[in-house]
Amino acid sequence: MTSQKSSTESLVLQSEKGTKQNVGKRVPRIEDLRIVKGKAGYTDDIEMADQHYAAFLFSPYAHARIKSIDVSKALELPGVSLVITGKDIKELTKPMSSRAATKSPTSHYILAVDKVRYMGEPVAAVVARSKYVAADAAELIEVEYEPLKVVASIEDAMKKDAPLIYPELDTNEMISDHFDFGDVKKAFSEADKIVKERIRIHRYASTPLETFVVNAYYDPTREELTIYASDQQPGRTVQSVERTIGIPSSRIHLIVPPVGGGFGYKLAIWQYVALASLMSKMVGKPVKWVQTRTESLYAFHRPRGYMDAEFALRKDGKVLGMKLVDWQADANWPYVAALYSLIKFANMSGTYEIRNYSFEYHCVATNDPPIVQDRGVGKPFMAFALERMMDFSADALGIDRVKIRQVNSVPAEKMPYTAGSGEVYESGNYPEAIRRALEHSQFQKKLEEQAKFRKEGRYVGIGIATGIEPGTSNLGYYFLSKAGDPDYNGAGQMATVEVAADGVVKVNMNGPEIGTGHVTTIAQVVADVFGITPEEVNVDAWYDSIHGHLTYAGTYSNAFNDVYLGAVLTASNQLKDKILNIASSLLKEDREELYLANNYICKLENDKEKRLVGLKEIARISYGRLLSFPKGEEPGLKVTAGYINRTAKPFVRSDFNVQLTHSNSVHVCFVEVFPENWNIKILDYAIVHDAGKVINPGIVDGLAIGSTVSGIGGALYEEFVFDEQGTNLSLTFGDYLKPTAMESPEIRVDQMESPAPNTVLGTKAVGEGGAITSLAAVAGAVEDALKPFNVKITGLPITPEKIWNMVKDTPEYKKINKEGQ
Amino acid sequence: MYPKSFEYLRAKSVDQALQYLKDNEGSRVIAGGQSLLPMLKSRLYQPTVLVDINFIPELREVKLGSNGDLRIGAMVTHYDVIENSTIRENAPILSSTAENIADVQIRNRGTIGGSICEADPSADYLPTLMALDARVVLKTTESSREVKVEDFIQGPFETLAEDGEMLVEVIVPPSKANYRVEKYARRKADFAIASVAAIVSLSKDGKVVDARIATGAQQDKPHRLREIESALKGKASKSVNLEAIIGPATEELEPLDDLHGGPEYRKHVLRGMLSRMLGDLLSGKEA
Repeated sequence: MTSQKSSTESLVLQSEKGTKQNVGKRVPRIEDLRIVKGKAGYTDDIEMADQHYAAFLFSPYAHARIKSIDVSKALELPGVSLVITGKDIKELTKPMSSRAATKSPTSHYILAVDKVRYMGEPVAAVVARSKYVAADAAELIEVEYEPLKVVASIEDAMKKDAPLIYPELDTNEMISDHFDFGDVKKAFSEADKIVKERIRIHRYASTPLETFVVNAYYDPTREELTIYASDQQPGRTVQSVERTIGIPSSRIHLIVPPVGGGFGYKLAIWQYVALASLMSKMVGKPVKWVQTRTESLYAFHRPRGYMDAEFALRKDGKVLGMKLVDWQADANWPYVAALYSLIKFANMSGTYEIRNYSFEYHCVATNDPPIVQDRGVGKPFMAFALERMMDFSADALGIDRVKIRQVNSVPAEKMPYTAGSGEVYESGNYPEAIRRALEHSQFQKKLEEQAKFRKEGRYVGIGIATGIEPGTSNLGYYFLSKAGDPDYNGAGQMATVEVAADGVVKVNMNGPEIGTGHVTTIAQVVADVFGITPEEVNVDAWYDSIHGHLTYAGTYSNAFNDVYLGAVLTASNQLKDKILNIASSLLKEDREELYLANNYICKLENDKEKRLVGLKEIARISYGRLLSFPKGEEPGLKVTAGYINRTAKPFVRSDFNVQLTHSNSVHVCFVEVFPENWNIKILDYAIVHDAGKVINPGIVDGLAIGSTVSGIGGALYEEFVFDEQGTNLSLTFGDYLKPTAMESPEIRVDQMESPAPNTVLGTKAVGEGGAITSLAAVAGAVEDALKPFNVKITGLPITPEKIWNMVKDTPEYKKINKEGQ
Repeated sequence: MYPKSFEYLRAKSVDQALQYLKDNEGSRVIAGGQSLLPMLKSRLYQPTVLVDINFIPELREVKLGSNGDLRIGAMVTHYDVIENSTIRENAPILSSTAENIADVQIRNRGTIGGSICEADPSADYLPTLMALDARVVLKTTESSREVKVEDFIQGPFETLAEDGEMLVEVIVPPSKANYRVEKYARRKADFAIASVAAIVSLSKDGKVVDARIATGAQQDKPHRLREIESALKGKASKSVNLEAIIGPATEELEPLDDLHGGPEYRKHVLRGMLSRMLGDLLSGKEA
């Protein structure tokens, strides 16, 4: 910790020697003009010579044995060059393996082998000269299925005679575990009241505008695989492609153009990258696949599940202890099974000082489709369960819902705070965040309005929720079940900064640009180092594996503000050092007096800035005029640097951190429910968001609002609905309801800044907070609005029809409908 | 999301379009394409020939007939139905209906004729056109006939249009009476969970002179609520007990059952809407 701190300080100090004009400003997003003009250049915009196209045949059954596949008609279609099925895959590839789970199925491949386990599982693949012919050919493949009994729920999966999703495992429970922190038994024996509830989470998902897109070409002349893909974790993809289809990672060149929305969804693309790569090698042609919207709705989602939560309470509202038992239907994708439970350690006790708790989880395979690390992974549900329990506890004790949160908040003087499991909340001021939220939301005024509306027969409610928004993954949770130093970790990244031969400062953060403002944010930070304007910084938004990168290169886990900025700043400062050294030698000036401003090497003479030599000139000398180049320096002005957040702990069951930075927020939601149709309208939505030091308040506002709307979607609109046969009934945007601009409330964001001590600029996570905290704020508000009906909301989404079913037999309902409707 | 191969024919006139339809068995007209294209892309529908009628100017016209009837070309877009002053003046309820349709993009491309022919049980126009007693003009190369919208719609996605026949015009008797038209959907741009179009005229002394009420998204096709209409007609508006009328009149409905709402919920919503909307109309409140 000490060494980390000092290196952090030196990085910050160095960056502050620049003009420091841009960090903290609402600089308009540089990348947006290209995006709105349709010139962002996404993966699908790239076509290779002799381009061929893939199409897949997906299973219409959730669980079935594949009796036979006849591809002859498809192969006869003119323009078709390849059809592959599970038979080929079994021969040519290795099965996928579990990462966290100790058990690993041996029958799970990138294409279904012998049986299908979910509706939408790829069963066969085609390569053809056009995407139309490919689609026609896929339709001509004849598969004979023998439907198997569908495992449609966790309860079904755990029955003694339940059909097994992976028979080789002898169980549908992939992994389960139990953790105890503090003295749970004592806490419960001392409790004045115990509150217990089963809280459910449904299946929903982020749905980026750009779906999976991959274009792969295996060049036999160089024996190299070149891939373009809309991939969020390209470092890992390269490893997975190597392991699955056997092409060495040194021969894989993966490029990620700007990505049209990530949200975690694009972490799952690697399966199709492997398939397209394999097929390209087989046909000797570049193979492109653009996932259709329907296909993108088959999978990958958040899992459904439930948590049995039990709180031991003292009369004044203090939570003495809690018992949490988490059940997740997340094992029908062994690759990331258990992840949704294990990541909950990152925000398990929320913003509260709860010392005694137990956590037990069960990771269960059903015929639900695969899951992916969707925005916040298991943390939105963790926060939903915890915050609902806070509300229920307050109600049971007859105390105020705000008060119980104040009573339990980690006091400011206890920061940095180490939670029971070892998670270190490095910064934040939770009581102050609540205080500011009450003020920002005009909470008192809302209470008065609510009382007035109730008298008029209107059902208006207020919900409040607090939440931790962790960032930077230690990926430790994968190894809570396994020993040793894992081969991968998200606590570090690499980036490249150069002054090109034309004197322009050029940056490649070498992670996917997923539309969250990285280009502008990096431009602001780097501009300050070099003393130029953000518009002058050329930020390359392409990830390219030929640049320096770590095996877990990718834009995920809310880590950009930590590890990518750390790498960019490290490289920038090294390069600036080098430039000033070169200039000092050339100019015979004292190195310490030189600095960079406005594209010049400057020094102060009589308090006035004197421009000594242009950056362009230094570039010319460094790249070309080598006779003038000073001795003792290397020519060229390009630096690739790596950075690690050193606060990642090794993995010990009793003391571990799964994430390294912790932003926090308080959401206050004000809703009205209309008794004609029980529809819900959000009248006001106020957020206090503390993401530490903010580089661009406009971008941070945007991310807070966007992630909150995605949470509102999960709370009120979005659900993948399956029938008892495991058929997904929500395969269009007419049935899977995303909130649109018309449904989105005006969201008011108040930014608070508690800088992180363990990141280079004090920045923290930004992109997931709304998705984490909003679910409970919305649910609490709706429940409060319906207080006269005495309903309890323990699951989502809260639809008008569900509300009607909850209220229609209550006395209040009969009272307002006394005319006999 | 890639349609099966089809032939595309662009008609320059109504006659040419009708000829194309006659000459090509299994052909289908493409109007605004807002429902058809997604169906083609998902291969739910696989016509061999598409006849495009987007380039026929006369189908975009709005006219006032000599008898005062509005004559709206099949290819008049939802946007035009909202903006066109002739429609706004003579059938303001129709313009208000179009405002509820989907989103801006769809209103810019989607057409009244296309929407009617789609015959979606939850479509926005149908209850309004039924309440207006509107008719459609259907043509073939040889014939022309007029059919009431109420008769034209046969069931979900089913109409009276026969092979080779094309809807060219919608005829709307003018109605300047007080009206309400609403749809209830979870999101602004969605198909209705329940929709109501109601036109009520009151005499100076407060008697109900005329009441025409239709609903959508309830049964397999939109329909008039004639039991309610006749219960209202001739009554003094102030003495009407709406709840006593609406309850029994909607008892027999068998509403749709899908992800967006079960039958009982849809009926509940419909009753609430009817009660409030008709209450407003009976009290003479202007829209």
